[in-house]
Amino acid sequence: MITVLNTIDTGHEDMIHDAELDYYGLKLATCSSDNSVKIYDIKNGTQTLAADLKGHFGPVWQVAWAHPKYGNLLASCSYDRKVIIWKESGEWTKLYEYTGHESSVNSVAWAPAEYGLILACCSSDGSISIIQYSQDTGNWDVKKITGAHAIGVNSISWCPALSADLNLDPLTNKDAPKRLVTGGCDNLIKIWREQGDQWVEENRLELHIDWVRDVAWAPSLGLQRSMIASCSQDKRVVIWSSDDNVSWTPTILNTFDDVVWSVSWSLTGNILAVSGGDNKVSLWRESTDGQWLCISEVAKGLGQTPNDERSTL
Amino acid sequence: MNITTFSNNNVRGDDSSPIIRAKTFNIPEKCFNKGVGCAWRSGNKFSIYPRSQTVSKTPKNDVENKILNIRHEIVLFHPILRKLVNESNGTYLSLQKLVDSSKNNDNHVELLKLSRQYRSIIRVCIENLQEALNDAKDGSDMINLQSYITIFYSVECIWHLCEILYIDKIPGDIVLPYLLEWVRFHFPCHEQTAAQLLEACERGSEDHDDYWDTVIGMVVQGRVDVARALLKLNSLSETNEFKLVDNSLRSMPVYSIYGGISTGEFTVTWKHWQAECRAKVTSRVLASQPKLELIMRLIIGEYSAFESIRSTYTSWFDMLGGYVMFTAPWSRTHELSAAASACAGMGSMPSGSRLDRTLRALLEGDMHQVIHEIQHITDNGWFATHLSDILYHCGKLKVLDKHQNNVTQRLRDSLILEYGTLIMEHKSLWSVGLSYLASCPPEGLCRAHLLLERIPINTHAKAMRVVAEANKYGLLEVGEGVWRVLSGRHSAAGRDGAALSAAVRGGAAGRAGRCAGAALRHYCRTGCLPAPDLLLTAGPALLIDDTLLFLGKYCEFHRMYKNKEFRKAAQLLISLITSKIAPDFFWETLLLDALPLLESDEAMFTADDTYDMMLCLELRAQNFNREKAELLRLALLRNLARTALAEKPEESTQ
Repeated sequence: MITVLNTIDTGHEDMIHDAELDYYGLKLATCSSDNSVKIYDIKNGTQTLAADLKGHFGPVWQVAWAHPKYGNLLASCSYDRKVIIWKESGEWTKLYEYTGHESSVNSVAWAPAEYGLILACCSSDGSISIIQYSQDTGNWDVKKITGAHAIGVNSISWCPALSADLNLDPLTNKDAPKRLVTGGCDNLIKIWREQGDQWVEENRLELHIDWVRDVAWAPSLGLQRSMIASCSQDKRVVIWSSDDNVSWTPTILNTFDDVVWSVSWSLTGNILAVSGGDNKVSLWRESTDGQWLCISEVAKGLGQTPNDERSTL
Repeated sequence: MNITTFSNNNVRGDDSSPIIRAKTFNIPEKCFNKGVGCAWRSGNKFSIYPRSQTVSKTPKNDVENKILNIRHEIVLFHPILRKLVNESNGTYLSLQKLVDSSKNNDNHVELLKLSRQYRSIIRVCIENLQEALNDAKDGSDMINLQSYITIFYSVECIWHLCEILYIDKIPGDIVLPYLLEWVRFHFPCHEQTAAQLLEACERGSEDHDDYWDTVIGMVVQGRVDVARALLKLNSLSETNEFKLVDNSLRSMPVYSIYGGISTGEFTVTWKHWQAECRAKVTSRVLASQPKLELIMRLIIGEYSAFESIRSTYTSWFDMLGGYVMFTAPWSRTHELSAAASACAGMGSMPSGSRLDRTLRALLEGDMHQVIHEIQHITDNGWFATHLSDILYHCGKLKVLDKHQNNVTQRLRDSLILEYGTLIMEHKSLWSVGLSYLASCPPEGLCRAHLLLERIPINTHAKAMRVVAEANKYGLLEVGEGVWRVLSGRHSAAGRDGAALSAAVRGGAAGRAGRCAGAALRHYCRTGCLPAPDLLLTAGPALLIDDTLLFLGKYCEFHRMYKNKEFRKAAQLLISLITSKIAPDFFWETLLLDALPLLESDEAMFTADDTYDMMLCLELRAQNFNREKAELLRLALLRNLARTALAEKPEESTQ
């Protein structure tokens, strides 16, 4: 049985492109084609608009919350080629603006908090920037990976810190290299590894036959396994898994009726939410024998329709 | 927009696995027609928002964009059921402890006790629900409560049978007495009527509407004595027919494992008895009393007799006890499946309820199917988790997947992890959920780490609890993270002392250093040192950062000065100066602190100390206030003069 907890009227004047809840589930940030980012406080089923952040000059594609130990920080990226990091100290203000890309910035992702305050962003100019805050100098240092994907990079996701060391001795945990996964318009998924001062391409995963729209690295569960979910305009969702972060095996989760726009893992990494152009959100889980199925349930739902009818209003 | 939650569409299915169709939920909001995205909250909550990947050329204002927060409804969070969750948690933890502490011993007595504890918790829950139902006013509340009660009755019924078949160690494995007890307890059809009739003790009781049903019911439940007593109340009880039946019932052999005879001997005696009864039936001597004939046919285990009364009962298990008693009373626990199939197959009543299927599977020993069915009885894993856990520890849970791999442990672990994750959602029950996750390492602890980080720590008390729980299970990083968040919040609010102490407790070196710097600046302005108690007692915790260490020592210096331990204070001051860990802005204050000690009557500083101080002063002279620098130089020179003289007594003075 599902219930709708509450409904938030967003007040965005145009399409919403992303909505993310903060770590504690108490704040919601949304961003839209109307160039603004809105932040809501959610408490007990009601929401109040906490801030309306204007600073972009084009549709804002994605927002991402940083770990609360760095304070209340939100990153947003937009068609106007900028990445803005907003901070709340009493009020929400712009902390830093990054303009190092030559084209729309499509996705931003904060690194696991264990690595420090690091933001990765990827753009339609085919390059990836990794911006790191240095406590000593108070500056943001930038590293760029150019020519990551031809035509453009659509999505970026970090490897969780606990997963990074699958083959290493737990004592050397801290030395495990940082890893990123990106999906691009060249139909490829690439895994990048930090080596010394540089980022190198560690792996190239090929299976999709159209633009890769979203990639998501599953949260670590302390098992000897890493998983990445990817979805593409070729209507398929693929799960890539690896025992050593070096060689990857793909499993096609499903072929949908329409383009799949996004995949996201639940907090504990056991359920994958897939949403796409066929106007549906579906939830998937891996069964004990490695197959991807949905959890079955027999319960009354909200506005439930009989199985074969699906009416849209 | 639709949320399709469960589908197995892509499994082309062996014949054994059922294809489960999708459950689709329609969300009737227009704004979702354009497209939909999903953002996760915690495990059973997520937000749905209308998402579009394309840029629209003209803004459309026609539909309001809405975001829905959706939650998978969990019955367990109902206030009455929370007690169930809490109490069963206690039993669960006792079970784990028991298993851990006595690896090789036979625990079955203890396990049985714990199983009974679980059952009594369920029964208390049913009672509470019943009370609430009696008090309920709202129609939908009443419906819900009634359905919960029905569910938990089934749960307890299944658990009880499970306990008999798998957890309890029945002497000789002869299960009939226990089975009869189970049937009588859970399906007490005619008990009340029988009791009434016996109490009334009237001759001519057959006039009562339910008389014969009751008598037959007692026979079918194996209560032969009660049946006899009821028959004696019949006005015709002195007739031959009645005496015949009474005789047969009285002479029925009853097996007892302590009776001294073997099962073989018992079987012979019993079969002999049945043959005699059968003879009576075939001789048609009871033809005038069809009810009595029916009773005789039942006690010889005639299938058609049972079938004929099937329709008077709602379910086949009502008759199970009697059927076993009159066909194979020596049955062992694992030999019941034939009787179960026989009873279930009787009549044309559809027996498709989940309870039916679960009990069948249980009697057939198909534990995988049992767990599968149980998972559908409640919408949460409470039942499946706790039952499979106790069966696992009894060694009775053996589950093979379709590749014949033993997945028992994985099944049990996955149920516990899911249940733990679910319970952690709740704002008061999260520590209960945590205990489940912690009992399933390593994945459980990782999940615990991920989920604990996300618990909102709005009040100090809550934060303390989270830290305590995190530390209890060795998740030190989470505890440290909480302290850092608190420290940040205090700093933002201007509470430097609190920020500092939180940073120190969290072991956050950088943050602690910054807080210490802020504290020193504060001191320069106001002359107050924050959090002196913490700093004086923190001990080695101060070593994480130089500035912090400096602050701590400086506090110490002040304390010594106040206690008039001037010499010690002086020594400390010198070590602070020479160690050079003071932040730049603080040198002036630090050196000026030496002034009163330099001027004091006794020399506190040696000549070497004085040289060191002079060097420091000269190196930093340009940052100092001129007058103060002059004063300091003078004091240093004077001290140098007297100490130089004092320390070299053998040199002759001028």
